Amino acid sequence: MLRRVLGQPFGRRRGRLRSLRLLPLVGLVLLMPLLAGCWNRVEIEQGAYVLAVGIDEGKVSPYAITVMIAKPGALAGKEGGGGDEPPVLITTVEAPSLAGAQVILHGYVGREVLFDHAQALFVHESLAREQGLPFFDELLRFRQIRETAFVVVTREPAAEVLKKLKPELDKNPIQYVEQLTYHHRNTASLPATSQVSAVAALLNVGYAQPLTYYAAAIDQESDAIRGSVSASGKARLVAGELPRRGGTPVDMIGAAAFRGSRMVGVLDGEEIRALLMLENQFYSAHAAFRDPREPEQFVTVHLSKGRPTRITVERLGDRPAIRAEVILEAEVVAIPSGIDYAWPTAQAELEQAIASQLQETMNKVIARTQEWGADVVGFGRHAIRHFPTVQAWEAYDWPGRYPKAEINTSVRVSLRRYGLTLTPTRASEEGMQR
Amino acid sequence: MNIWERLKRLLDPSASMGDDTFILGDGGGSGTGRPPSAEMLADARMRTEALLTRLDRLVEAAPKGKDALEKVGDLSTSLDENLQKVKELFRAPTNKDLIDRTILIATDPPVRAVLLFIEGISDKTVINDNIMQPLMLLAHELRLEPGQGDDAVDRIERRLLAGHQVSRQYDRASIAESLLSGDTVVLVEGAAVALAVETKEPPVRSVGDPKTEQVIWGPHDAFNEAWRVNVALVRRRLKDPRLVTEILTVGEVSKTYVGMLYIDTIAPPALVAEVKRRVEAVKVDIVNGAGTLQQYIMDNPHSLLPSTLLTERPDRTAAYLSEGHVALFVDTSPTAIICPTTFWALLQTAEDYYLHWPFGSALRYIRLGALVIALLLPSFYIAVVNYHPEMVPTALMLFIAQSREPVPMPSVVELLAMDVVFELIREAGTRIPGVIGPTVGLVASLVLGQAAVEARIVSPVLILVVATTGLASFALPNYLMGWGIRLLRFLLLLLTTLFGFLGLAAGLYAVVVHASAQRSFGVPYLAPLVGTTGPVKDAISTPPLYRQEERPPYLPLLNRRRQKEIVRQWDPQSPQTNSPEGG
Repeated sequence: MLRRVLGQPFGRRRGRLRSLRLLPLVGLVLLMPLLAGCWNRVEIEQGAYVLAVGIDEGKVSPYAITVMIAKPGALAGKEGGGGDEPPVLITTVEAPSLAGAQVILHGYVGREVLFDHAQALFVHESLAREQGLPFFDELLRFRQIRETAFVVVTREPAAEVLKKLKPELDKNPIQYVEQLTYHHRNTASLPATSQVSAVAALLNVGYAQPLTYYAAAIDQESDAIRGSVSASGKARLVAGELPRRGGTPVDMIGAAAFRGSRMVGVLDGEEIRALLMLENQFYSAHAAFRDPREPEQFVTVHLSKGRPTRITVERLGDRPAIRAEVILEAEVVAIPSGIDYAWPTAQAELEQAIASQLQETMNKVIARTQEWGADVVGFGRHAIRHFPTVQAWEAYDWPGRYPKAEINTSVRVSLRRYGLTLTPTRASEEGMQR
Repeated sequence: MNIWERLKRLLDPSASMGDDTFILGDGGGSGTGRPPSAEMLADARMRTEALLTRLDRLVEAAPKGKDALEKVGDLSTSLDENLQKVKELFRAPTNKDLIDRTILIATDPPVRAVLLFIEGISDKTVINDNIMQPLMLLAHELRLEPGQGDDAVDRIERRLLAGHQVSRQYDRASIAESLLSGDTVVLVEGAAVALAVETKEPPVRSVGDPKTEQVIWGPHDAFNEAWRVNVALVRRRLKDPRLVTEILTVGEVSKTYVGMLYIDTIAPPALVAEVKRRVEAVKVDIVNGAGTLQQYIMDNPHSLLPSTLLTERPDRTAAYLSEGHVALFVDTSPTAIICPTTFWALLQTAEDYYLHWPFGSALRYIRLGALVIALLLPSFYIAVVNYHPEMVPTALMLFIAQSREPVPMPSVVELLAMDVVFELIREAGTRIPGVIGPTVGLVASLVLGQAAVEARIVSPVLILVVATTGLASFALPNYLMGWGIRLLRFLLLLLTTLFGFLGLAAGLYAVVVHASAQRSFGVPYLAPLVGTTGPVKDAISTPPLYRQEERPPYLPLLNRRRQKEIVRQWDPQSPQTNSPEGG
């Protein structure tokens, strides 16, 4: 074809023309860089990197989108970022979507706003309860958001939480939040995962409902210890009500439960622990239980997984029946009452007490989620195995049947150790006489 | 001459060129049309005359049989004529290097003879004690029949010349060759033959330490410029009569000796023949060492990856010979050329085998890492900084961003500038005389390390990238390979600057395809990983020595096994050291 374009070479100029024939090809090769181009090249320091996005209800637009933009010099600088300068820039725009927010931000932020490094997405609770998560569609389509960003539902407007997020030990506020999520493995008071991808994966399936992190901003001015008491008689471990004074005025503990994309309720840390045990996602944690012989006192133990949790679907049909068996091991950490539970009979009593208190929490969690109609534990994962086709499963309507399901739990706890000493410390005079 | 004239002459000498200006030639014209000079004519006449004499004598000797044909030359029976012709050939007496000494051999009757040798490359002691002394002083008992020149030569060779290698030369060209290699030539009156006595003593430095391939453990001798010494160093390690040294000569003017070593029955005959063919096919004026010769015999001269291995270590050469490779020693060059070579051989050192195998393997992995860093790190940095900041953890991204904030240049310019500075320091460090060498280090550390960062011309992260890359490229044991990788790095950097990771991936792909398509003396370049079957041993890691039972799989060897499967055998007859009572 090239030959036809250039005509048949002739005579002594043949050689020269032959090389001319390659010319269009060379030209095309030289044009290639323009196609792939260095057009999307951005020098790293010319980007405004959004670390976190907050989403609230908007007034003139559907959403008020708050972005937390890193100031690299202040966040990673050698001199410690300079005393008073905040390490991040927080600004709010109202837009129908993140990409729309980017357009508005480009009206007054000099650098190119990039969502590549956004690690957390804060959503106001009232938005999540009233409208659900309609913006999730954009999270899955928009290339700049990474799917590993985690979702946090906030009791207060997200903008307020982001503003209050000034950790004292860390410089980077989002690194602080990220570190809070690491506590999942040793306190078991946060859901196992709350990433965009994990939440999104559960939005379209019926066998389990999403859980996300739950955070709250507290009033810094007030110096009182706040908090409420949980069903087990202890302080309730839930964001915004942690019994504490001082520290960063943002808590993140417990979880927000969703039914589909709508938020339906809040679970506290203790409930999350019971839920993780049922999900087989529990590894180990310290936990306090009422002393069976002295109900005013608490016994603190270190719980760890004994065997994988076994969930058996006993019956499907109109009213499904499910049995969950949890086997745990425990090591005593503290018995302030001074009662010697190392005696075989007493040990069994303590084991029984721990097991029954755990079971009580589990049943309460199950009852609450049934009330919400949100199978956040994911019993449906076990039920779905009994259906040969997706159509049959969908026709069964698991989310509709879950509230009516009969779920039995059993918990077995074995005390393995009593810490570094077998007998209680004889601190009291009473003990000395014994 | 006024000032204006002087200035004009200074600025444009050709404008005011007078008769007193010396001009050499017409600056690179073809020279056709000029009459051949007298010197050219004389040279041609000399050659033609020798050729014609030889032809005449060949015709004469043809009926007499093979022996007579071999003795045909262009020498005459007249000593004076021979001497005059040889001197003419050497442009003596203008050329002062050819020394001729006319003597009278003290036989009965005395015979006139001339000793010829080249100043500086022959051993004077041998000439004095073993040639002159017997001929001039100890020849009294020898009775010669007058007029029988050939007979006299026979007797002189057998009874008088106490040299250890004496050969007969029948023509002036071979006389010249002997003289130039340092031999002493004896011309005898009445004989059309010359005797060449071996008196070679070229100026040589002694065996020294390796300069580029040092090891911590292992021998510290290295090749030097005398190829015979080099061969001796290798032969000392391989005491096998099958080790063959063939001598080839390359270069019309330089007539450089090239020693080709291989072990018969181990080296594939086809490989030996091919190496020989390639070396013999080189028709050039001068071959100035192994570095030059390897350019003429390598497979792909356009490739950035070296396809020949140059080594200055006799132990390494011996190891390759024992594996069936061919080694070329070029006279005046302190390196041997190993043919063929694979990519992995360029990443290996002798030390890998001297250490216990885990350490040897670890060393190789470190070098492999160095290769990756030297080739990819700058491109990776540019790709991350310019195209894909989302690839690195946020904390690192922010750190890079803050370190780049005060820098006024794009990161590519920054990187290239620092790379150029680095190359300047390297080149200056190589060329600088030893006395002021430390200055380079001082300036380099100041320029690279501190001043550039403090002036905020470059970011500290970039210094780290450039320094790590430089360090990694020096960790590559082969000098030529280091150069290849350095140039490839710049190519990849160009691609990355234009296309980001896409370009880097495409470039790397092209490099790998290119490397795997290359061959070195018929052997796939990436062998034994590419192009051979069977287990890969001793390429990326090195297995224990007792498990390296076979020679490399990429050579078509006659006998692949080099040691028994069980190297350390248990012999029931051997005395047992631990007695039952033993402590």
